[in-house]
Amino acid sequence: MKKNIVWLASYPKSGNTWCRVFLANYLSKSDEPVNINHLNIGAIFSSRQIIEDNTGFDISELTADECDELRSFAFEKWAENYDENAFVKTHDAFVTLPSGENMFPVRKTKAAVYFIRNPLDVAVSFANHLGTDPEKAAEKMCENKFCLAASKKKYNQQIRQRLLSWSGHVQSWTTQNNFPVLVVRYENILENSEREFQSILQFLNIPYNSENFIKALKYSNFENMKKAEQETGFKEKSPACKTFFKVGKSGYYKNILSENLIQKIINEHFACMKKYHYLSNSGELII
Amino acid sequence: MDKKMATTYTYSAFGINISSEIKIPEFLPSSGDIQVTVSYGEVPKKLDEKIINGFRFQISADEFIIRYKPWAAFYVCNGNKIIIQPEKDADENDIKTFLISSVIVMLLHQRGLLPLHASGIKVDNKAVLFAANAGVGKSTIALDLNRKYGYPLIADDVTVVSAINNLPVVYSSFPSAKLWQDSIEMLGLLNKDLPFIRKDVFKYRFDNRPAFFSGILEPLLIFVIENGDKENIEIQEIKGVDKFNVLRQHIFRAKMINEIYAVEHFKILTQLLKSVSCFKILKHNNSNTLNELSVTIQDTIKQW
Repeated sequence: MKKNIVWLASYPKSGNTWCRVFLANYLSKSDEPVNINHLNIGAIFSSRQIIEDNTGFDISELTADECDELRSFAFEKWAENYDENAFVKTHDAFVTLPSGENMFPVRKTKAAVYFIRNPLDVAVSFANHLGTDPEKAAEKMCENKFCLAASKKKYNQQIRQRLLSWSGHVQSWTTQNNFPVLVVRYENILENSEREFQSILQFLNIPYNSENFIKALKYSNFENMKKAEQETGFKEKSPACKTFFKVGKSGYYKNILSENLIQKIINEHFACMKKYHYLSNSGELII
Repeated sequence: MDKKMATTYTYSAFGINISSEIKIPEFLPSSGDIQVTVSYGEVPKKLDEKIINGFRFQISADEFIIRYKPWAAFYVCNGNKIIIQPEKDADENDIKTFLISSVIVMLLHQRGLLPLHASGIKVDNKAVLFAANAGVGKSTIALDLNRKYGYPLIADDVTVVSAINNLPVVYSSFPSAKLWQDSIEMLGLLNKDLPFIRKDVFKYRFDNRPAFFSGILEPLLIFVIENGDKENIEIQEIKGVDKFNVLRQHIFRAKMINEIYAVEHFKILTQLLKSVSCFKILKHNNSNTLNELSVTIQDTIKQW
């Protein structure tokens, strides 16, 4: 059985799109930058269209739980269209269905790249994404059953995504044993994108081509992505926020979050932050 | 369920008279000769000669099985029979919702008809259809044109086309629309008493019986509506082979049936496209889009 699905998984605002822009440019044969609105690199796991196209069901007649039951089958079938890596972006935590069955098509999965970012910076960026303040965003990052819900008011291209809490999300992906996972820190991409993107290519056994690599690095530079969004807009941007590519820095939370909120986030996600080196062994903030 | 004790209701929808053991208030009552029966019974475990083995469904040329866990299994055969096997404690409203959409559409395919993913209105005794993917606003535009210009409605989600004596005809469906909250707001409807189509599915069922025309019509125009990315609404006539290719994409449940009914569909589409003009409309998502869309369509209808 062909195992070709590659998950590009993350809590929102953690570098997933950055990597997708890099990969889209790296795998593109063109000398021009890939249009950010036509990345043409696989799919999104919450795509209503892929689920409907590959199951035949009209999912506007189904509950969110019933939709989840279709996803594994739909994406297994969708992945058959690809000889090699079938990339799927997801913000869903690695969860099972209420029946105990896999929500993710693990038997067709090759590997996952999991992007992690300092939750303090995530809180700032996630607040922008949701069109809310950092306190509310941080609250959501602490909810054990948090979902990015599909709108109840109108038709939505995306279905509900179960995120869990920030720590719950990280643990769900990084402690499962169904397939190999490469954990990539957002801050490491910022520090040395060349090294990090190379390690992703190596992990996925994608042959290295220096010409393509240099081109892709340039086109996926944060400022270039930001410029592209200013020129053409970005269809993956949440309607609640003004711009998707906003700051793209590490430690930016220091300008925005109150001491109380910083402490609250640390208390809630202490173990995970320590494990991924956002806190020192003695619990001091590193970034 | 004891067959002898079962109450039956008789309805008309999609040009077909139906006898049903399940109550379908969305359909119009009928007293004509019955062509299709809907009954409770045992659904086969699987099809012997299936052509497509999908997710919880199987299809052969004359048979279709689908299982909506945990509500019911449906068996559709020979274009004239639907059998429903409900699960224990299944909600009848859930069963009915599946029955009057995907399940009955498979019966229409089996009958050699062409069900299009389109809403429709009646204009001077002819049919004008609005084909679009889910979420683009098929129901909303048909209802808006009804409210603004008085055109009777003939279909909400599925419009059936057939050919009689080599001439295309359009059958009305049934007088009920499925609407999202934002459509209800745009149309200025009151949703206080509207039921959801199913529990925990946030789409409303809207009865449009007073505005509905039931019958057979000659087709006049087809508008294919898509979401565009420009500031203004764009409209252009589709001609030649493009017309065929564009409409083929709007055959209802095309992904589910693949090419099983391609020959029947080709025949009807060919007849249809000889008789109708077809326009593609790219709409935008500004707040005035519905009004502009209605005016654009009305202008085109009037010029035709």
